[in-house]
Amino acid sequence: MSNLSNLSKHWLLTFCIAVLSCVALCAAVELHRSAQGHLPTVRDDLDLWALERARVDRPGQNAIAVLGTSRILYSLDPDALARALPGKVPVILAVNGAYPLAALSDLAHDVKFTGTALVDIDARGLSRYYRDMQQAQVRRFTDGVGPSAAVHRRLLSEWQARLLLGDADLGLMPTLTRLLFGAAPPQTRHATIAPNRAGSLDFLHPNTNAAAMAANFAAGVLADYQDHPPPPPDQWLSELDDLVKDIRAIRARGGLVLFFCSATSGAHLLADQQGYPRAQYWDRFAREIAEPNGARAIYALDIPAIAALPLPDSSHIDQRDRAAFTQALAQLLITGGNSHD
Amino acid sequence: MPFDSFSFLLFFAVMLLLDRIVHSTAARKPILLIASWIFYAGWNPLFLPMLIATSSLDWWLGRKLVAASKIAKNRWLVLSLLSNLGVLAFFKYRFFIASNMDAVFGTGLLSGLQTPGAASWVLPVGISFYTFQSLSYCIDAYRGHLPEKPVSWLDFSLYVAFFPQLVAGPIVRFGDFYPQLARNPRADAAQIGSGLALIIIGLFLKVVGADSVFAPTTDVLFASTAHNFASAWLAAMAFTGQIFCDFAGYSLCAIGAARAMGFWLPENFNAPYAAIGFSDFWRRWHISLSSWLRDYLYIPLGGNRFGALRTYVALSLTMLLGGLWHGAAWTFVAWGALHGMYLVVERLAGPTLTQFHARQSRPVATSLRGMAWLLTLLLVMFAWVWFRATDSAQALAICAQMLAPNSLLMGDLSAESKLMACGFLVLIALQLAQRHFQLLARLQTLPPIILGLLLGMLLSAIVLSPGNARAFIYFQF
Repeated sequence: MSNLSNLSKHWLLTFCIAVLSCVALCAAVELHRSAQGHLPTVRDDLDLWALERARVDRPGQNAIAVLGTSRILYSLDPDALARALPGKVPVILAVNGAYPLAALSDLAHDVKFTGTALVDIDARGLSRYYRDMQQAQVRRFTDGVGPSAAVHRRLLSEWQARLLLGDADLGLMPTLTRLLFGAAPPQTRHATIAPNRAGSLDFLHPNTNAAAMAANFAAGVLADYQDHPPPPPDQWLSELDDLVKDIRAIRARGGLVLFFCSATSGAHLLADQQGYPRAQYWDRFAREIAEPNGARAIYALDIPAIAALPLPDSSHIDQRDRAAFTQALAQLLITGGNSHD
Repeated sequence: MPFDSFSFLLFFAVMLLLDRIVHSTAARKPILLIASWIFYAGWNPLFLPMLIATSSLDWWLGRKLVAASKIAKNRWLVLSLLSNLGVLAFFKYRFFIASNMDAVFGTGLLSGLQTPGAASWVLPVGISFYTFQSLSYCIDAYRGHLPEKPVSWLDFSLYVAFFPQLVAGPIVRFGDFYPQLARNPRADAAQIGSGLALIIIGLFLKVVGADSVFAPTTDVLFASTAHNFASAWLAAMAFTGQIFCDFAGYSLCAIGAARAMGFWLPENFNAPYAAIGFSDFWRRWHISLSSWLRDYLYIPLGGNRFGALRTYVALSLTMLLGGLWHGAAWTFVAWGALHGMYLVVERLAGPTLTQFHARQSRPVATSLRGMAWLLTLLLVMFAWVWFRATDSAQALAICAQMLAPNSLLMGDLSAESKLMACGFLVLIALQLAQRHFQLLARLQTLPPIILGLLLGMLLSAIVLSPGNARAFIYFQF
């Protein structure tokens, strides 16, 4: 009995020391990273997207599926939108760097979806080159996220949202490679994502060079025209047959589809217009595709409240302007896209 | 649910608590079985009926096998083999079989299997492991190695589904597990403590070793199409480290989780990269599978009882099938074939080499042993390329470069690759040390303050290595 008791003490002491030393070390690392100006953020992945996508289908859900790219991902505050539109449940399905037509098609084929699809997309994103960009997300949703992975992902999101210890870029191996082999130190980031996938950008954050980002965006668009030349307007429109079917499928179930072309500015806007001039592409899309099939296509720069918001990197708004942006968008949704004039 | 997940952390905490509260055998077994099913359903609840159905069938077949006359036993055994291997063939090998039938006979089977309905049958996780475990029970029943007393459905179901070993082993024999069930073992402080310590070490190997140190370099180098001598060997080195840390890490977690609840599971790895020769390697790598293959395949094929040629055939067939067990692809068959060839060559050359070794002075003999170890390691690494490659063309391309010392220059080696190479050297050094003393056993004799600090460092490293989670490699088998 005394032998057993000694064993118990041995292991109890061992694990007390183990846990205390681990907590002490991790707390020190957390404080050090925080002092360096790093912000905790959720790391977006396919499982998280698929879990959010599943929320759209919950019975009795009056969902607003927010599709698109980084522009709406980092601009919309879903909690503020839910407050502005009681009874509606915004679900963020936008993906940084990936146009959303695959996700829209997935919603169109989902008979349980009867809500609103708010689709942040520009004329370039409607062209055939980019249709499958969110196919990996859709595939993960249709394959299903198992119960264990779902619990893990939800808990992981909460962990990452609160602690810098959850940031892989600041992990042990990047730190070791820096210390041992002189790899570059990690930059503090101005972008964060919450557990519900809502993002925000802080352009006042140190190390944030908005002007350099703007130059990169404009150069990136022009370079992309070399790889993916803009199709002639008639051809571009004629290649939207599948999109028409998707719109009709959602409308037939009583749902709403609202296309929203986010604002850009400066050289970025010029580059956008160089490849896909508004009058020949977006306006024709609104007139000939969206409206005849019961959808609406809104050009953000036509809405004074949104056009007035500064775009520090020529493409995204600062987190301090999310409330104004969300309020303006809520007005659009209340009127089904009819009140922007 | 994978061991390296928050879900498992919660699940296991509840299990440990329940295990301390519930003492009666009558309550403990059903709780363990239901918990194991929940653990398994965590991946996909649709897999669970399959597990219950196949294990129930094998339990029933086992009873028939025990009670049957000698002739009837044969029929029941055939039925057991057909059902178990049939399930494996359907879920795991149907596309492989169909594509090869198409290639040879032009049957068009593959297009039939790729229709949406037929293709939606996904591979249940861990099916190869629990099928082999069930199969060994039926074969043992056929051989008369099971207890006379009828085995209850509950005991058998728990033997198959016991959550620490359900998905990726170690493959447990019924004869080892059943007496433990009958005893209803309760974990004492030492078992709980050492079990948790093993889980921490296992998670360290997986999260830090496999996922953070080795996998990033493996992924980059195996995605590359341009290799030279140095980069090809570096790729092999990275995967050699990754596969060990991944699978040995999983096995340690499994053994530790079982131990913390009072159960014993067999050792699965014993410093395999310190092996001298391939017989030695297979006594150290995935021990529960290699001993399964020995007892249920190699020996029934004749083993070494019918002369040298028959032994070589049995060895080669066993390793080929062992390779195929891992995955439905020719690359796995090639991996098995390579190891079969290594073992045959070792048998052929063994007596001569042993005599030569015995005639040498001590320093020369030691050097020869060192060279034999290095050769074993390099050939094992060479074979791993086939295991990791996405197809035969990639494997051939990398292996061709490994055999052509055209350039020792890697160009600009990334910091991750340098770190990986350091990690590999540490891993090999630890395994060589483990040849002489049992590291894990030694750990448990350390004073609490040293052991506690060591475990604290390992825990910290796990917490500080987020975001690179990859599924355990052996889950796909």
